[in-house]
Amino acid sequence: MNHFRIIFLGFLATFASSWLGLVLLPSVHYGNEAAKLPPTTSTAESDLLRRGEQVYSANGCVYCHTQQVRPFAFGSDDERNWGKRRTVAADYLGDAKALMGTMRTGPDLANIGVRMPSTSWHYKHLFEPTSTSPGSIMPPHRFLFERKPVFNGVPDADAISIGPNGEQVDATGHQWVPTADGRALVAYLISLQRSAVDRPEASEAPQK
Amino acid sequence: MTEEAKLRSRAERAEIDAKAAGPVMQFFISALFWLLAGSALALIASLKLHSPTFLAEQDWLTFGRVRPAHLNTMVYGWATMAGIGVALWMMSRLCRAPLRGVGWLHVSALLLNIGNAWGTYGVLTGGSTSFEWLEYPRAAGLFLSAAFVPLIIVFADMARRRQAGHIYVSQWYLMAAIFWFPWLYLTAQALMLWQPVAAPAQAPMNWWYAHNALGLWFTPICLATAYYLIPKILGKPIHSYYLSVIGFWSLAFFYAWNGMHHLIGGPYPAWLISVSIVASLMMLIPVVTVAVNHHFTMRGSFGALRTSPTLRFVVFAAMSYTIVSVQGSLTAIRAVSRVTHFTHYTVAHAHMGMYAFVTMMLFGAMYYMMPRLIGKEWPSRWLIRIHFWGCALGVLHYWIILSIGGIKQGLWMLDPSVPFLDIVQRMLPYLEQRSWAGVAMTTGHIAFAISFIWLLMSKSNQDTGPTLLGKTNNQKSIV
Amino acid sequence: MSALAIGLLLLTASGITVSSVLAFWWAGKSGQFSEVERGAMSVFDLDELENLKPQTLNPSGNIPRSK
Repeated sequence: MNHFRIIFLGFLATFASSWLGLVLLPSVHYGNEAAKLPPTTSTAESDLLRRGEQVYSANGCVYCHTQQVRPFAFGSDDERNWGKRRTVAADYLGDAKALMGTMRTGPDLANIGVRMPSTSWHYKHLFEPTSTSPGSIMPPHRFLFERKPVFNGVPDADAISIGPNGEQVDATGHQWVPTADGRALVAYLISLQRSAVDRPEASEAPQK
Repeated sequence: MTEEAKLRSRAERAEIDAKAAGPVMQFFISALFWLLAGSALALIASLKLHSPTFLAEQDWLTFGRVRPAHLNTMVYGWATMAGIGVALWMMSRLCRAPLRGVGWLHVSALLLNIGNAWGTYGVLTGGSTSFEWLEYPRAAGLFLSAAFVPLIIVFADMARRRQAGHIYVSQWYLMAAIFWFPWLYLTAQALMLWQPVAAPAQAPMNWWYAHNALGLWFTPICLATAYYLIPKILGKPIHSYYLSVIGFWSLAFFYAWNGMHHLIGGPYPAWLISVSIVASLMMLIPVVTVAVNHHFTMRGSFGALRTSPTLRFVVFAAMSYTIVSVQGSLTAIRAVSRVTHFTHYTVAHAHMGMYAFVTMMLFGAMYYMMPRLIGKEWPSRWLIRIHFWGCALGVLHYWIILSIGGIKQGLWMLDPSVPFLDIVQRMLPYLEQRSWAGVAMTTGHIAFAISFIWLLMSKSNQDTGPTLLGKTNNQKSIV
Repeated sequence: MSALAIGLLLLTASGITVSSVLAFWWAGKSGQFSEVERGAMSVFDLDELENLKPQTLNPSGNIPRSK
């Protein structure tokens, strides 16, 4: 083939078709859907959740955890109690960032807020995963906590229990409490209840 | 043809190699640095998966940051920069047009290095975007994008100056790659990081980008390399040029629609997923044509693998291309994806593509190019052997062990009677074996780096002829 | 999605498809695909041609049809 111009047209055409289908089309469609949502006002709570989403993203939680419940016929997501229905696109419209993940080294988190609504469980798990999940390979996230002195012998409400008997104060009178990032992350995790709202497009008879 | 014409042809080629040497060397040396950095990050990440308390105190070394740092330094540091070095030289050779704008190419390499350094630092310090293959903070992306401007101009300039006559298949692949990749990268950066689209649209875009970065940037550069080096080394033209035409166009048509197969079972319209599955299966067409073409070209000349280092890497890579692509097509089938999705099988598959195919092909090209660029031969056969065998056996071990592990992981996950934490424990031996594979591969990289630096520093040894492996007059044939 | 947006997308998509099909037809017609044998040889420089494996060339200098 001698003529670069024709070949060039070919590159352009084949590529542009996929660009239209996989880039432009979904962007326009979901952009319209998102525009239909009621405008969100920024509150202290929504700021906390956004920050938590940011911490989740910055620390690469997606590399081990998904946030998408598969169709029940497609897997055992239902039996593992990962959600009462599959997730659909509309479940993510309110997010700033798609954090769907592609690996299940750890369990799916789309509805972790339903399964584990307790902040203290999450703090314990993030501080030392094997303390709540024996045999887990999740890395400890100590950097989401800070070591502070205890005042008047009374530890803070969300101090982690670090001792073998659940003590929250160590031998030198210090406690471990979550940092602002740690709090934000846990608030975000508890907010993950994607299958909570019924959606008609998600209907399918769960296969038992 | 006259002696004079032959001499002129040889002189032209020497001029092309001499002109290319400066910028290509800068790209290669940079690429090698990123290869070593990426290998260190890889080993750390791999060890953490079966020893989670390893280096667990520092936030900048947590698995969720080291893993993307590894991926991005390998993609944009090692493979992209080595790929550009190879592409520049090959395009110059095929167009019979010595490189112009060499100063600008040095700027391009510098921008890529700054982008990679800033990006890696950003990911490790908590600035990862969390989009796979696009984790560098967006400021780093500006440097990477800017680096492509001189490259596009230089390539277009070579195309314009090319000698009249046939455009060889490698040239189509290279021109296509340099056109497609900036479009891919700029779209992804713009619509995901600067003016993000709605969250549900981000995942299709992410995987349109990531999959196409492999198939429309790295794959064309590496196929171009195979189509160029195999005939050159064997002294035989490609078996069927017609097949190579079909191969190129079917790649261009079908590849770009594959991306959504990363999201099978996800919250997306079924038609989008189905199209990607069909496109993934159609990929068998270009893959089989390339495999047939290379095989028939090599037929009768497999003995050359005993002696030519370049050919070993190139043929290993070309065969890996066939294997990983067929695997990819089959994995896109829903019944298979159901088992393998979300498992370590996918990681094995990704390394078969980016390492066994792309990386090994780039190594082969570097072995061919360096003596021609700087007029010196590789100093040590043994380092070449360690390099080849460490990497080849390492990646094969990696692929086999994690594919088997991943399939088991998938089957156990589908069985609700297997507790999740049990699955985690059962995967540990496979993850440990992967670390060993990584050690073998890294050993190969270190051998290559030593070889490379030794080559740069050695005195010219033109009179000893090319460094070949295998039987020579007074040496026993070792592997 | 609005009807206008769908319409524009379809129009653009068809435009691109039609033009690429036309480009292909032109390429075939004008002989872009017919010089395949010379094409494969273009990878070699003039001085490399005489070092090729002997069986690849027949006396007229063309590559014989592959066996």
